Amino acid sequence: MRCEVAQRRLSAAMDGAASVSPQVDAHRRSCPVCTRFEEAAWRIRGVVRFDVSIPLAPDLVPAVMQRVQDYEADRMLGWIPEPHPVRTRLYRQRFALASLVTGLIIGIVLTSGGVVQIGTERPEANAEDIPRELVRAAKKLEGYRATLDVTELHWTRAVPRRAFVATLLFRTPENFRVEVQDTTRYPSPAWPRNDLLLVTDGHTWQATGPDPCPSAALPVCPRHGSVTHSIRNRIPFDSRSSMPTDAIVPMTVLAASDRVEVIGPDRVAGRMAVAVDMTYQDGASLFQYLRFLGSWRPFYPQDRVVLWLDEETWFPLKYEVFPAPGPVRSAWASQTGLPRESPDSPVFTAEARSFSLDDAPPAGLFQVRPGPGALDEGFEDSAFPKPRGGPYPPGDAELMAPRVTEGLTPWRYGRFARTDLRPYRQTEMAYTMGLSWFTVTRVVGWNQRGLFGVGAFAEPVRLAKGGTGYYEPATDVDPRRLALHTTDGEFLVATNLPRAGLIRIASSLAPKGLPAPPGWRVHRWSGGSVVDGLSLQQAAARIPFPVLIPSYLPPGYRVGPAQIVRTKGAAGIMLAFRRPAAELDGFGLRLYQASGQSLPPPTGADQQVVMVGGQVGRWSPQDHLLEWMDGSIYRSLQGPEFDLGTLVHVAESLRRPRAQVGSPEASP
Amino acid sequence: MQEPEPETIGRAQAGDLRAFESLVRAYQNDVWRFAYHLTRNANAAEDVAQEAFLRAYRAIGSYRGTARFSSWLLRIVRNCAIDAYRKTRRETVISEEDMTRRGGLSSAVDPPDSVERARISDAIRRLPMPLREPFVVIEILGFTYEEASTLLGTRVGTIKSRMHRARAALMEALVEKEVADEM
Repeated sequence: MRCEVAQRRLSAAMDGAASVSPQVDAHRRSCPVCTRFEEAAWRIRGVVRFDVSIPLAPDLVPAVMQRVQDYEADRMLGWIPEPHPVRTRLYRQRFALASLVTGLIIGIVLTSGGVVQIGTERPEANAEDIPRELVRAAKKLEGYRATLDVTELHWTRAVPRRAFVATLLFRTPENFRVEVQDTTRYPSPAWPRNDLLLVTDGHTWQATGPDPCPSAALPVCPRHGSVTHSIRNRIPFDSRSSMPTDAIVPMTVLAASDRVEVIGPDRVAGRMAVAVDMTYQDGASLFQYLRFLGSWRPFYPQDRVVLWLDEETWFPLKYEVFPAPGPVRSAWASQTGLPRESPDSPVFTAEARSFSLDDAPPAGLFQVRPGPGALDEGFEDSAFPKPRGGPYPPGDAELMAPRVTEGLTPWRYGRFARTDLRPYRQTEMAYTMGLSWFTVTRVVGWNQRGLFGVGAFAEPVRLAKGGTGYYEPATDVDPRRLALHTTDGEFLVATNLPRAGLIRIASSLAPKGLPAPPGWRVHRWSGGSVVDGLSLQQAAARIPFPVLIPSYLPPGYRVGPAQIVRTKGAAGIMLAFRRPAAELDGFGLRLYQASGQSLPPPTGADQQVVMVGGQVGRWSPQDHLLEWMDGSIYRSLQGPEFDLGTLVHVAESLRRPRAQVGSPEASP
Repeated sequence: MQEPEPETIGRAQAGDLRAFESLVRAYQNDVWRFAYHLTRNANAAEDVAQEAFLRAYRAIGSYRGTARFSSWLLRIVRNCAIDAYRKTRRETVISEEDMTRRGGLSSAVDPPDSVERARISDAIRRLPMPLREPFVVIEILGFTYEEASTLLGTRVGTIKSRMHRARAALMEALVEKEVADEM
């Protein structure tokens, strides 16, 4: 008898799900491996069933019932969204299909006597699989052509519907061209047309179109006519002159599964598609190929974007924007000059009329001839260093070339001339494959007291071999970044690959990332000081009052590094909560708590008095800022992506973290 | 696990918050314990448990009484834990246990049984979810294979196989850890 068979029987017998046959018993007695297996299994049972080290369950009743009451209140106020119109339509389709399938199954069961196990209903594509599929699609891409029909409603009362035809061309690795032709019938020629053109070959970049026009001035736009912005000596994959390629493969939008919800399968233009749903705030990158110039209608951050991805290629076939429901959105629309908009009808639609991968567009279509007024970014290309049958020669390349490239290949290498504004040596190498890319930058002679390329709330991450890096999620202008402070200078790895790939690349660099010097954390000015880069525990231990943290956070959010702010008579702690893959507004959710500070005087007419857990608070809709006094402690919560209901929910979930209770670190 | 009175469930389904509260009170320990074993982190377990009760509240109208209430509820807990796990699995998650060890909050010298307990706990945390779930449900919470099959939506044969693989993986992890600790 094989040990595996015997052990499986012994395992099931332990749980009362099988008996030990004489053959298994005989094997057990003679086999030391199986004897050890059984002994260890009983030992493990003894430990796990009587594990006194498991913390005691907390009393969940108050928190759960509070959430239930909040839910009921939100439902009554209409803050719980009604069923999504697209989802409802798909469910109707699925119901019809399910009825048909059920009939068939009943038929089969009745005729064959078989039993069919029907599981719970699941979407056909998992949200968590989509980023991986997109990366795969992006790497394979060599060329792309597509034509999209775009319809926008409610730009102005006089022009309630506009139509555009957008042509997108891409040729690997950095050639991108988008042409937007405005086909709207305007009331008169005085109205500005949104004809746009953006072309880049990687080294140069040019955007042409009308400057945005204030809607109050329409139809006569003060700056009528086309403007051109050009860049020469462009930095590889420069985020300030980006290629808005999310319309081809939405790498930024769908970088993480926590950002989207799969609605279900659908059919668009005869192709099978997967429909996913996200907020406009999270899907904003899908619209950048239109919004680099010209005038467009505004969207509310919580408006819903439904995106149909081609099931075979994962390219967006269609996307629509549906207004968010609720009175807050209606008030915003009214202030913005929009008419009443139904959550059931799309106010923006883009649909691919055609797309092709068959042949890469010719290079000539991406040529740009920047004029004398072009901005010079100062990047000087040179030949990409190659190892000759061994390691790279000593120098920048030896230190910068990662051993792990995630399958991407070398593309560009170069450096910047030293200038007064850049008095240090900066070298950069870029790798690419299809639409995927990463860059490695090395800076020698860094003259600032802070990490290169990341901000104060960069999250420390552990790298392989005990190294340390500092990670920033993507924003709508910057890619995911990871900074390393090393004995060989400052390094920055930036990419549109997922976070895990970025960490693997950074981990494979030869220099080891060290913790940033403690002195870089402290910033003093005449009025006080700021200390950043602290853990929650470190920061809480330095604050003379109990720091509260939320027990509820919107999906995907988690706490990052903390910051302490000291001014005369006041001490405060700022906690930043962000999603790890991308935080498009670059801000996330910030909680500030301070002693010695009172509620500042109101600054806007639109501020409202609200209740926060029994305390009187203030809501500033322009700043998405909720403030309140909790006894002598001032607290504020700010998040540009969030509405009042969500911020109140987070605010009312604040409580003392477990680790602080009785922890010597937390003592004042 | 005891089953609630059908009348209590009926009242909760009719919107009686007190009835729902009594269900929360009755099941909070089991729900939290299950969530803790799935997440191995007290804070995460609390979030999962709260979310599960909220989802249960929203869905209680759809409970038809064809399965045990506890199985129905734990199934929701499991889904919430999976959602939480999916959201964090690509990140470097430092569990409370790790933090406690790294932060030196535990005593300088642990007694031998707590060392073994920590090893086992660590090994359970490292089990992949398809193995950890049946292990927790059967070995720790004491469900039968049939109940675990209903709860996890997996066939009994698969449950048996996974239990064996979970035990084998735990043993292997323990042996490796013992060797590593000795070195």
